[in-house]
Amino acid sequence: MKCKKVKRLLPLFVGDDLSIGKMSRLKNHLDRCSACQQELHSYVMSLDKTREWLTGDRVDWQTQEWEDALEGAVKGRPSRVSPLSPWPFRKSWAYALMALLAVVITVFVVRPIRVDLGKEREMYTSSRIPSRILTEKVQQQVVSMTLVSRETGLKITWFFNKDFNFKEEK
Amino acid sequence: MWMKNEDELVEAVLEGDHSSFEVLLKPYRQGLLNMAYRMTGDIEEAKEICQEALIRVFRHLKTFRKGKSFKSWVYRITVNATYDFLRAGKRQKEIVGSQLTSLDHASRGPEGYLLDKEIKRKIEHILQVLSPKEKLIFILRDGRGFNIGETAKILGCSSSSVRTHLSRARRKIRDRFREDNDKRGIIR
Repeated sequence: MKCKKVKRLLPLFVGDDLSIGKMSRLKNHLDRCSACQQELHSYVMSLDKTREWLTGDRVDWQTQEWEDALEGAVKGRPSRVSPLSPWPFRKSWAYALMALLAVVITVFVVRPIRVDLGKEREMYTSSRIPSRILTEKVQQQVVSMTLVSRETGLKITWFFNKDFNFKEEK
Repeated sequence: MWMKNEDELVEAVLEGDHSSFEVLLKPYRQGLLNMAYRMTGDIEEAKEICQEALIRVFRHLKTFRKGKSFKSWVYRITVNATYDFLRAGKRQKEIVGSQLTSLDHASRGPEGYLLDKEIKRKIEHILQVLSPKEKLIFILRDGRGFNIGETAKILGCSSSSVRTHLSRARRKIRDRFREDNDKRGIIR
């Protein structure tokens, strides 16, 4: 193992975080290399000191605080939903309720209206419109005949009723 | 006295025995607080994070799979709560010595108090050079004694990623020590 690789692995070696194989190869190198030994020493010193400080500076809960924290966890945080909000607060419940309302409206309100409309249409077509209008063709009530003079440009129009009886002359 | 194991305690809490929740969490009381404290540098913020983590633990206890490490699970929840807290930018980063409310600190008198304050300042100074992830990995491995595999599990990343960050963190810390010694004229 070369010094470059050893220096790269030393931070993990110092905390026993290497595989057994790598550890023994690194140890072999360290036995022979004083520069790497110095490097190792600096890591050992800094890590030991930091660990010592971390151990020395520990905090703890006051008993009452800890109990309050646990109680708070069990009870859960106070609800953020205003008590004035409409029931139900939960989204899932709200969606379920909306779906149910939609079904109820469809079954009891929309469908009867459509059925009524159908009936009304039937009634309208069957009774209110006279049947002859639907069956007979509309007949022409008035017939007109126009005569135009070539010499004078005079225009005479005769109107007859449907039985071709004379009605009017213009 | 017969002691319930963690799976049994979890079962008891789920069945409505809330007193078992205290027994279940007691071994992690100090560890969780200290981890959050190291990340924020403020005892009140650390307590706030732990409170949030405890709420999440209780709420999601039914999702905990039996046979798995409860310790890793609880720490993972606390780590996530810490990240959320830091991300939300709630923290005010002025560390005041008077916030040391530890029972140990309080019982050591004025000299002990000054010593604590000095140690705290040193730790802050050393950890300052680390990124949040490096700091967290360093705290879990070298502060709380988790091994590489456990740390990876807590953080939800690979062991090689933990090794990389840990290696970088230790190197940065060593360099910080060197710089400080250089400033003070100490010959290595």
